[in-house]
Amino acid sequence: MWQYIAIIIIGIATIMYVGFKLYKTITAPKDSSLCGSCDGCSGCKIKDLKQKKQ
Amino acid sequence: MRLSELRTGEKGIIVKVMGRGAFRKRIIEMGFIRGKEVEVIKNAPLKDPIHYRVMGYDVSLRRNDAQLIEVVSAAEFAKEEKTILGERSIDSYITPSDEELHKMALHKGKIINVALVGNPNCGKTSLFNFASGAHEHVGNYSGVTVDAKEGTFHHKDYTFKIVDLPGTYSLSAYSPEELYVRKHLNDEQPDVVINVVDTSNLERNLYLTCQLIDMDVRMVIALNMYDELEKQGNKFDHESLSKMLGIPMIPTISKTGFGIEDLFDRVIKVYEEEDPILRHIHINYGEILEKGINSVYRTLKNETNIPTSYSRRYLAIKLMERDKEIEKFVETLSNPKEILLKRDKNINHIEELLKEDTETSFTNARYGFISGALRETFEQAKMKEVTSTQIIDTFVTHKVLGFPIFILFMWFMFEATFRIGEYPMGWIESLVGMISEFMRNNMSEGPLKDLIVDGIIGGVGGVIVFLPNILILYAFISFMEDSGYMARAAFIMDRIMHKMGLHGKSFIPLVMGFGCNVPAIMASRTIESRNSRMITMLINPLMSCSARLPVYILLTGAFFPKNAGSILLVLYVSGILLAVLMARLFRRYLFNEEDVPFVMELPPYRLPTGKSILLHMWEKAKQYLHKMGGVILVASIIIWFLSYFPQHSANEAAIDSQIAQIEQTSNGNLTAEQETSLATLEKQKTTVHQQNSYIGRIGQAIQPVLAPLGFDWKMSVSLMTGMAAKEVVVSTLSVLYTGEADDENTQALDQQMKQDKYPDGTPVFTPLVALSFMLFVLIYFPCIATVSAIVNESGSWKWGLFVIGYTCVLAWITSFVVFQIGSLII
Repeated sequence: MWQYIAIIIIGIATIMYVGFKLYKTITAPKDSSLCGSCDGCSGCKIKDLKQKKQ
Repeated sequence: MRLSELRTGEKGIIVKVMGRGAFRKRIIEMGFIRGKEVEVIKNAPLKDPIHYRVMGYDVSLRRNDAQLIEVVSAAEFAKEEKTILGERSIDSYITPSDEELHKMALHKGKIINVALVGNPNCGKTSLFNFASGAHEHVGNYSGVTVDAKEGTFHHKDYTFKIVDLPGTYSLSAYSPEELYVRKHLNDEQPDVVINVVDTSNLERNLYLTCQLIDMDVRMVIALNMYDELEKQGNKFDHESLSKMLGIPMIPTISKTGFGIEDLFDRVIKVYEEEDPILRHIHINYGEILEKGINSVYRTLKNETNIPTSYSRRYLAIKLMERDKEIEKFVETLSNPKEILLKRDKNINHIEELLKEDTETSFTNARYGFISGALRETFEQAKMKEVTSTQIIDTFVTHKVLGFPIFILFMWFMFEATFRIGEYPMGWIESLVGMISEFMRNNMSEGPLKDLIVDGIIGGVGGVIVFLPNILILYAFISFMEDSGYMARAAFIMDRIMHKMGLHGKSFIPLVMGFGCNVPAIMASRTIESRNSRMITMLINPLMSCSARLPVYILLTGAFFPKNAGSILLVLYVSGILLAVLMARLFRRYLFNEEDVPFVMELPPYRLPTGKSILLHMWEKAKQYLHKMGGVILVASIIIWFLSYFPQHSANEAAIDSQIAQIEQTSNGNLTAEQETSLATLEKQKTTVHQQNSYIGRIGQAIQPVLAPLGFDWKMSVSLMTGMAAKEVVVSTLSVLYTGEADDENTQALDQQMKQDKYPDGTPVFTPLVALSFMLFVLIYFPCIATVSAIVNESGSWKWGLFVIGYTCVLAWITSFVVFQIGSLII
């Protein structure tokens, strides 16, 4: 039973995480500079630069 | 804060006076010097000018001028102190002593804003990294810096706030980076500009210096890569040139750090106005042009609305060059008609006399000035040695050999990625297997165990094993970038790119796409023409990024183990060829306007340092691991949930009863026949469960669309989930196949895929299906981050949706053709 409770918690946390990420992507400010170009991606250095700038 | 922001009655202590030339000199002479107190007496009725008292004298300044004087006020002091000493009484914030304000002003005055300006690939970013301790991306080709980067470092009681601006050959208004640099210098007014000059190419680099002189910025020149000049045996009397130009020049080698301390010592001297060499000179453009400049200058002089941050002579020169941005600026002044009329009159006169347009005349005059300056100070080695760069270029850019060498290099890169990567990949695979076994043996049965073993370890572990391959690929890409071979690759592709309606320069963002499409799309900003830039962006997703590598390694390793390197090469080259084809179509039907020609440079070869390559690899490893803990972990969990539920169906119950029957009849002693039947039933049960699961239903719903390409429902689902990130294709397959395997049969994913069969006994995966699948992964749907980058860079959702649409259609057609034709042949 406890294993079912654990996976339910993990499932809810995952859904919340995905929802939060989608919300962040949709509500990200429109920005033509480097800062606004890579929301949702952690794939390159520009991401770090963006975070630093923010 | 700025002096103009002080309210009537407030006092402030002067931190620094910005601006330049006569204005600055006059202000300083009036007593506006660091550490002096200034008080606002009153504002004029229309709030301009403002009446100040400094050193006992009453002075009136225009608001625009007061904006160029930085001060600290009591309010600012209170704000800063509050953050440091939270427990002080409120009174002490309001009434700081003069001594405290003075101290703060002195401290603030020791912050120097520095801007790094120079040609592309002159080593600005290396210098920036060395000075600020940052790890910004450095490459031996132009256009690495696509936006300004900021860093801070301390030296001799001073704080340097450095901004690394994009590389630019001039300060005209043709390309986005030229405008960006110009805007930064005008708007931000850095205290000192470091003009980074590639000493091995003085003539071209000093052209930008001439324009900076016109702008009248306080400047120090870093003679970078000085070792290369010495190696070539050239003699350069930089001290004399320095005196001629009135600009301190310091030899530096930014990759080793040589001269950088001296450079910043000199920046301090310039900032403190203690440098004996510093003076502002005017470049003499010759009698005819100078007459024109002076005539326009006199008209501009009457104009009171020009901010003091602009040099009027610079404005006059730019107007004479027909600079569109400056024309726009002039139109905002009170009397634009008169200024532009005067300008046109002078231009017509000059063009009649010189028989060429004024822009060309100015360019020629600048090169003439440089040539004259270098004639006196620079001596080329008499016996010009053949440099190693020339020797290497004889082969790598040869019209016949260039291509085979490029293809050979690429093949070697992929072969090494696969072969060398096999060993660490095996180690990580065993480690993942051990962890999986440990969890399997030590956890009680239940859904959490299944989630951890099949979902998380299966999904994330299935992808993490490819980390070594990605790092090896990155080591090669870094080598290409740092050594200068990337620029050669673009050079040899130039002719093909031209035929396809693009410039060779577009090839660099395309090759960068092998690493990640997002920065590659941003790097397309360096392409001057909007048409070429748009095409480069739209075809960039066809360049196979490192996220697709796990799919390739998995399938080539399983189905083409002997020719893995060649198959990888075929995939990458297919991407390039399709990109070229699409570029041709886009040029013809979407962006058919003529482009302006532009220059592509071939930087000298440099041996990349091990540190730089390791740094690139480390950065990539961090990003990859970060992705493992983010999108891939989440996707694996979601896929597991969708494949685990719903738990029981009628078909499964029927199989369960058959299993129970066999177990009952055997009474604990299973015959060989019964054991086989049990194994078959177990397998059948798992298959039925997966097909009835949510993900199975989704897969079967979309499978008819992908069936003509040879894909089963698992492949179809993995392609769907791979839209988030391409690695998720592998993690999805991994979760689906790990979940399918029984507890005793924990084979590697590639083995499970090879053994997977349709109910009629035919294999699900064949080499042809694998190839069709890899091509589909290469072409279809760029990841969400890439779409987002395209939308931002193009400024429209339309292009993001267009890329999604065309890549999916193209992927389907390509895989269909390959699979169907392949099926006929094989």
